[in-house]
Amino acid sequence: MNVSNRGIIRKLTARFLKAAKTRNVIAVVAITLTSVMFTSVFMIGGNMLAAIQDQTMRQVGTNAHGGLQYITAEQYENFSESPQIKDMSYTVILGVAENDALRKELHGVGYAEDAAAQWNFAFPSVGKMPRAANEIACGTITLDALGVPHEIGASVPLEFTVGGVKYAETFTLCGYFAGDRAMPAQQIWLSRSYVDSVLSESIVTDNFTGTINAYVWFGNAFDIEGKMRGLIAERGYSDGEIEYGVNWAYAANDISIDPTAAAIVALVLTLILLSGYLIIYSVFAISVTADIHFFGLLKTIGTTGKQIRRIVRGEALVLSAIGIPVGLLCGYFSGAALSALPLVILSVPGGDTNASPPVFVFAAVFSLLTVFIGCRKPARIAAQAVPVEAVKYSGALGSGKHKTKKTRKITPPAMAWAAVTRENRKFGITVLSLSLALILLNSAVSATKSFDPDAYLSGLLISDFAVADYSIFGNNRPKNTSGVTSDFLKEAAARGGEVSNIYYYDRDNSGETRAQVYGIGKTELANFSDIDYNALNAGNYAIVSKTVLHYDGAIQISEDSVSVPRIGDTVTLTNDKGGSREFEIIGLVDEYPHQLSVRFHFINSLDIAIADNAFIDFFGEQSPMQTNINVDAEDMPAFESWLADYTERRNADLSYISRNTLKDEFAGLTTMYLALGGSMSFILALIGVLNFVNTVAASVVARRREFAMLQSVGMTGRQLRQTLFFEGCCHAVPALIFTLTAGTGLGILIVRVIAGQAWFFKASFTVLPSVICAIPLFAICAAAPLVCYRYLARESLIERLRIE
Amino acid sequence: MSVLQTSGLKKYYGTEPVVKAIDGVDFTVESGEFVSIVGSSGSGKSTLLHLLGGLDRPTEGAAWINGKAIFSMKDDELTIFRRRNIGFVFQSYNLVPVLNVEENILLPIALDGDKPDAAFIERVVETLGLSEKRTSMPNQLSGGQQQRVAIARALASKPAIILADEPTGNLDSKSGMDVIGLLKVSGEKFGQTIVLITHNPEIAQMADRTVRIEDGKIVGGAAR
Repeated sequence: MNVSNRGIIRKLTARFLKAAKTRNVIAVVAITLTSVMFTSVFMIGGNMLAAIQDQTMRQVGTNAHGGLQYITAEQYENFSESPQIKDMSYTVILGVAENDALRKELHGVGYAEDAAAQWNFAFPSVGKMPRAANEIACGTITLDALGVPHEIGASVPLEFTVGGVKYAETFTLCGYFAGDRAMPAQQIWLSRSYVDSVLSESIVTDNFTGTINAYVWFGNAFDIEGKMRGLIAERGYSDGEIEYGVNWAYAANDISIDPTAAAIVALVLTLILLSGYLIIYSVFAISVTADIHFFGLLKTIGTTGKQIRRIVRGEALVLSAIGIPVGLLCGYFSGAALSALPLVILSVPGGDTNASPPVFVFAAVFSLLTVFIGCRKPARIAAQAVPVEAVKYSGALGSGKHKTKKTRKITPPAMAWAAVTRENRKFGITVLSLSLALILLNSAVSATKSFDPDAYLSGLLISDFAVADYSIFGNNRPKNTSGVTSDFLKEAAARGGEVSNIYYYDRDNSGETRAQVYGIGKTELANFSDIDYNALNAGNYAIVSKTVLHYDGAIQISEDSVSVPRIGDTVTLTNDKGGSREFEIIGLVDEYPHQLSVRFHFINSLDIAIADNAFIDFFGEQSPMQTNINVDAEDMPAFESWLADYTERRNADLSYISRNTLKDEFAGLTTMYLALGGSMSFILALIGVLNFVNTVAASVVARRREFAMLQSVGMTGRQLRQTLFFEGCCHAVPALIFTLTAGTGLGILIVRVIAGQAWFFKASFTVLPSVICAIPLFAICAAAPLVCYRYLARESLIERLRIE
Repeated sequence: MSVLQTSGLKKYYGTEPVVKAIDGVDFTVESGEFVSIVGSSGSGKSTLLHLLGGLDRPTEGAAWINGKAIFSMKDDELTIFRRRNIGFVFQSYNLVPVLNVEENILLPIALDGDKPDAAFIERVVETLGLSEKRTSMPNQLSGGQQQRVAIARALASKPAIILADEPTGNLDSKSGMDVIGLLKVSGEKFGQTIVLITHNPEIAQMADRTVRIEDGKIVGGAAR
C-alpha cells in the first residue's frame, strides 16, 4: 500500500529540527569541518595529479592527446576533415639549431600555428608569434644560451642546415616564453613565409625536413591509442603508413602513485571520515536519545520504523544542506593555502590553487556519505523505539549493563566514574576522538624529529659547497659529466676555496658488466672509506662497490650474478682510445655515495673509484663532473654570494648546493611537516573537544533532575561541581592513557608511513607533545562540565526537580 | 518540643497578577509526630513542603527546624543542614541510577563524609524489607521497592524530620498503602517526625494529625 505521507514526515522533520537548535549548530559545524577537510584533500590531491600530468606532458613535449608525424600538407587536410577530431594544429619542421652556443641542448627550428605552439608549451608570453620573414620567437633558455637579452626587437643569430645548405641569419625577436629544461627540446619558431621560402629553394633528402607534425585532440582522453589507429584507418591509410604518437601523460596507469602517497591519501581520508563520523554520530545519537519518547509516541500512533528513519535522515540532510556548501567554500580556501604541501611531503610538484567541479562533487559526496554513516545507527535506534518502553525511556537511566553492583565507598571520583561509564559506547567514542588529535600531534612532531639533519646534510653534501652541471643534480638527461669549467675552478681557488674534484667515465666494459668509474680526491675518499688516499694514489688501485642495480630495478649487494671481485683481484678498465689498464682492488664498499655520484645507475654496472691522478693519467685530461669546495667559515657568505652570481650570470649551466641552503631547506621541510601535522591535529582536536562538550552538555542536561535530587538530599554545590570536575577528568585520563599506550603504537605506524620513506629518516617517537597538551586537555575536560552546570544552575532546584 | 515551626510563611510568584502559592502559613510540628497535609492540586501543598525542606526560599516569613532559622542560612550551609536534618521522599523515587540500593541509602551520610551507623542501617534495611536487594541497581526494582529505598535513604541519616511529597503517587493503591504503612512503622520504630503530603484521604487518615491547605492557606485540621 502506498500512502502519501511525505508531507507529514517532512513537517515532523522540520519540527524536530526546530526543537534542537544547539544540536543543529554543533551538527552543522561538524558537517562543515568534515567537508572542509574533504574539499582540501581532494583539491590538493587533484592538483597534485594535474601537476604530475603537466610534468609528464612537458617531458612528452605537448599536452595534445596525440600526434601524427612527418605527414604532408595533403594528408593533414585529409585528417582535419575527420569528424573524430575535436581540434587540430600543426608545426612544420625545418631543422635543428647549430649555433655553438646551442649545442648543449636540442633546439628545434620550424614554424608553428598559434595553437600548436601553445600545445607545445612554447607560445610567447611576451610578444607574439613570428609573422614577418625576419621575425623569431623562442624560449628564455635559448636566449640565455645565446646571450641575447629578453627584449622584443633584440637580434637573434641562428644557424641551421636544410638540404645540405647552411643558413646563418640574424632575426628580430618578436616574442619569447619561459623555457623549460624538462622539455625534450627547446623550440625556435620562425614565420611561415620564411620557412616556406627556405623549403622552396632547397632540395630535401631526408623524410622529415619540411614535413608536418600534426597535434590532435579528441573528444576525450580515453583510449587515445585506439582512437589514433581508428583515425588513421578512417582516413584511408594502411597500418604503418602514418607515424603517430600517443601522449602517455593521459594514460591513467602511467601516472603511477607510489605506495607511500597512496597510503597517506588513504590514511588522511580514513581519519577525516572517522573523525567526522565520530562527531556526527554522537550528535545524532544524543539528540535521538533525548527525543526517544517522541519517537515512541510516534510509533504508538502508528508511525513505522522506516518513516522514523526518514525523519532522522531528513534532519541530517537539511543540516548537510547548510554545512556542506559552507564547507566546500571554506575548503577551497584552506586547500589553496595548503597547495604547496604535496611538494614537501611527496616530493611531487605542488599544484595550483585550481579546483575543478569534480573536486567539489567528490568532497560533497564524501561529506554526505560521512553524515549518512554517522546518523545510520542513531536512525536505527530511533526506528527501533518500542512504543511503551520509549515513553518511559530516559537516557540517564540506561544502566542496563549491571543488574547488581558491589557496594563501594561513595566519593565524588567514584560517582563520576560510574556516571561517565554508564554509556560505554558514548564514553569510548568521546575518549577515542580526544585521543586521535593527541596521537596525530605526537606523530607529526615525531615525524619531524625523525628527520635527521646530519643525515640530510651528509647525504647531499660532503663539503661546504658542491658545484656541477645542472644536469648532475637534477633528474635531467643527458648528464653533462664534465661540466665544471677550468675557468670556474681557477676563480674558486682564487677566492680561497679548497677544491676537490670528482671525475667520471662510463663505457660498456664487456657485454655484461658496465663500469661507472669515478676519479676522486682525498676529501671524497675520506667520506666513504677508511683507506688512505695515499695508498689509493700510489698506483693503479681501485675501490669497488658491491651494490649492483638489477634489471628488475632492485638494488642488491650481490656476490654472484655479476662478478663482484674480491680484494686483491684486478679489474680491467678501457678508455676511449682503446687502451686498457688493470687496477688492483684494495677496498670494497657496500655502496658508492650518492652525493658523489653521477646520480644515476646503469643496470648491472659496477661503481669503481680510483684516484683522481690515475683517472686523468688513464682517461686523459678532462673537466671534473663535480667539485666539492670547502671555505673558511668567515668567507662563507661572500663565497656563496659569488657562487650564486657565477652560476646565475656567468655560467648558467653550473649549479650548486650549499650547506646553508640545505639547512634552510631542511628547516623549511620540518616546519611544513609540523604545520601540516599541527593543523590536522588542531582540526581533530577541535572535533574531539566539540564531541566531548556535546556529550557532556547532553549528559548534564539529561541529568538535571538527578542533580537536583542529589542536591535535595544534601549534596552541596561544591560537591556536585567536584563530581562534574571528576567526570571531565574521567575522559581526559583515559584519553591520555590510550594515547600513551595503544596510541604510541599507532603513532609509530603513522610516522613510518608518512616519513619512513625519507632517506634521512631516523626512527624516533616522542609523546612529549601529548603530555604538554594534557594541560589544556585537562583544563577543557574539567571546565566543560562545570560551565554546563553553571548554565543549568540558573534553573532553581524546584524547577529541575519537577522535570518528568 | 517542636521540631518544625513556621511563621507568616509566604511564597508569591510573578508580579501582575501575583500568584500566592503560600499565603501566610503558621504551622508547628512536634517531635515524633506523623502529620499529613492534604489539599487539592494547586493548593500549594508541594510549595509548602519545598519551603519546609529548604529547597526553596519564601517571599516572606521564617521557618525553624530544631530551633534553627533555616532561611537565614547560605545555600551551601542550608544544603549541609538539610542532609543532616531533613530526609526527603519524593513521588518519583529520585534514586541515583548509577548507585546500587545500599549506596543510594548511604548517599546522604557519604556526602557528609560520615561513618554510617551500621547497626542502625541494618535495622532500617530490614524494616523496609530491602535486605535481599542491597546490591541491586535501581532499574532492577519495582516502583514500590524504589520508594522503600527512598524511605530508607531518608531515614539513614536520622534526620530531625522526614518530608514526603506524594510518595505513593506513582504506585498502585496496594503498594501505596504498603509503603505508607512502612513509613509509619519506621517512624514509630525510630522515633521519626514525618510530614506527608497527599491528596488521598485514605492515606491522610493514617497520620496522627491532618492539616488541610487551600489556596495557600491552612483551612482545616489542627494547625497548632
